[in-house]
Amino acid sequence: MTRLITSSNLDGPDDVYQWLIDLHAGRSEAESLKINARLILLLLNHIGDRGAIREAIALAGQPLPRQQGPDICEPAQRRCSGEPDAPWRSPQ
Amino acid sequence: MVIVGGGPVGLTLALDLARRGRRVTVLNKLDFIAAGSKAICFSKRTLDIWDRLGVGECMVERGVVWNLGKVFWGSDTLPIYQFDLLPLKDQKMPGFINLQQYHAEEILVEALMKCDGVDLRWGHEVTGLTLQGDRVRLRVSAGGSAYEIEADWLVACDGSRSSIRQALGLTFEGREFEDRFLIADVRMRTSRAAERWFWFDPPFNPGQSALLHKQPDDLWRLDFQLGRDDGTACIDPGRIEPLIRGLLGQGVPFTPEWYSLYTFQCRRMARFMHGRVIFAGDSAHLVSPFGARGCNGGVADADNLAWKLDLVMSDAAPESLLESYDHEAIAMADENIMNSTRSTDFLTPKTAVSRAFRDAVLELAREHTFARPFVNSGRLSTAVSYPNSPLNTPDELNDVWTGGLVPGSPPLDAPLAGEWLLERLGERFVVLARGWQGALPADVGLVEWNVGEGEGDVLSERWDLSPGSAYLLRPDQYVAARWRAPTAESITAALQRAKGFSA
Repeated sequence: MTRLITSSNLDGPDDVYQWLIDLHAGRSEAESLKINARLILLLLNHIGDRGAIREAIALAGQPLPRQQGPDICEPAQRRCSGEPDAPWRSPQ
Repeated sequence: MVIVGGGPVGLTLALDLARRGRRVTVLNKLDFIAAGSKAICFSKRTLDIWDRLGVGECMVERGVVWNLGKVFWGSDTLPIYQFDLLPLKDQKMPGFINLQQYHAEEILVEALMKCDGVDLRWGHEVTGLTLQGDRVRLRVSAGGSAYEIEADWLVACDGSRSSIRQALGLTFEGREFEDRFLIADVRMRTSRAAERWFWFDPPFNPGQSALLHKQPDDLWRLDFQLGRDDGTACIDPGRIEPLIRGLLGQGVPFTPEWYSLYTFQCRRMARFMHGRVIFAGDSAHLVSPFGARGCNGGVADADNLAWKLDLVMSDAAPESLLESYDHEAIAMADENIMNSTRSTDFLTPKTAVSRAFRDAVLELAREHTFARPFVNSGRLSTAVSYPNSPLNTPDELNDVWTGGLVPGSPPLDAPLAGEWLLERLGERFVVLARGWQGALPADVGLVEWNVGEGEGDVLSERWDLSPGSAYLLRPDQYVAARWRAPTAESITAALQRAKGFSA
């Protein structure tokens, strides 16, 4: 059973998108990386639903169809237990 | 039977087996108890185990009791996060004690000296090993001469560089971490509280972390993250002492006791049982020190193994019971490795993104309570459950439990008529019941709990023990089964299963 809403669920998407862009205006990539991290953490806690969060994380990490360009994935690091780390996608 | 290794794991195992009447030989390479900095943090579960073995009170008396951990960030003087290791009070043992490993070993050796059938051989090094059917033959060298010794069972408690593991050519898979850390044990007199203090990015060690623990005898353990190896690492007092003064405060007098550098690894063997050779403690699994899961995990191995070996050696259980040691000890090792790896990744982020998340957590934690539980300076060792152990009997379908301890759970202490529950459970199979009327198998004890003995009823609440209910506990006090309406037949069946007879 899927818990993650993937149909449109937000009023004024252009406004919200613009808030995101404005949030990062004039920031360095390092700053933006941290701001995004803060934003994700705040939203995760607000959502508070582990099932939905897990689905969102899985979906976000899925390879995109018809991806162009060079392979920008770092090799997965082997862990001593559990599954290998998901490959880290460079923000560039 | 022979135990190789006289550290806390080997000695705990020897003590447990000796108390069960087994003849035990312990071979220890060193002919002295090594001083220096090793384990210092002993968890409540370890103390519960040691108390069952009669040395818990002595350890607590000798150690420094603490329950509180505080996490600081940057130059803030108020912690951004703190945690209590004993949220449930009314238990005999504290959340943690700090005690130098050599003191713990001395106490264990002293207890072993009082047991019959224990042969502690210091300065005896294993130099060769052959497996011959159901026998293990060891070549031992001691004081310039060599001899051979045979055993039905060999337990290798000989540490991370286990000579037994190497002799058998067994692999030790895992991951090595690049960050270097510095341990400084220093002596000083101070009124600082007995709490675990951890700093992220403190002014005295910018960009790195630091940890402070109180030990007995005015000894303090300081642990500094130094970052990745840049080839300049050395034990140079000129570099170390500014760190120490930065942490303690300028002008605080201290005497250095021990400095050492370390890196760490997370590893484990694929199996801990190899015929008649069994691995326990660091020889079988390694973790980072953040979380105190190394030595405590090893003592838990000994606790899990001792009663099983004893039953198998006295033909009261099939050899397959020992397979459950493999299952349960690996479940423990995996939980410890997982937690320790997560802590390490939080402490030493490996990529720009993981550093961004880590720093975001710390920044948010200062103002927002939601972010504080994400702060991971080490998740400290707690008893591990075995929900999927083959020794468990699942709850009856019609029984309704609103809490209590599911099969495979470690025990939970509570006051019991002026004593403590865990003291009463002892070290054999026990039925804990309210109002049990029937017979019990000869090797099962009974702990009967009657409310009204005057101390409130914390026990019934913690165990969800309503009138008529019963639990079957293993000799290591883990829950094997529980019933709302127990019968002699169901208890006997669960007992057989917990002894490794197939269901």
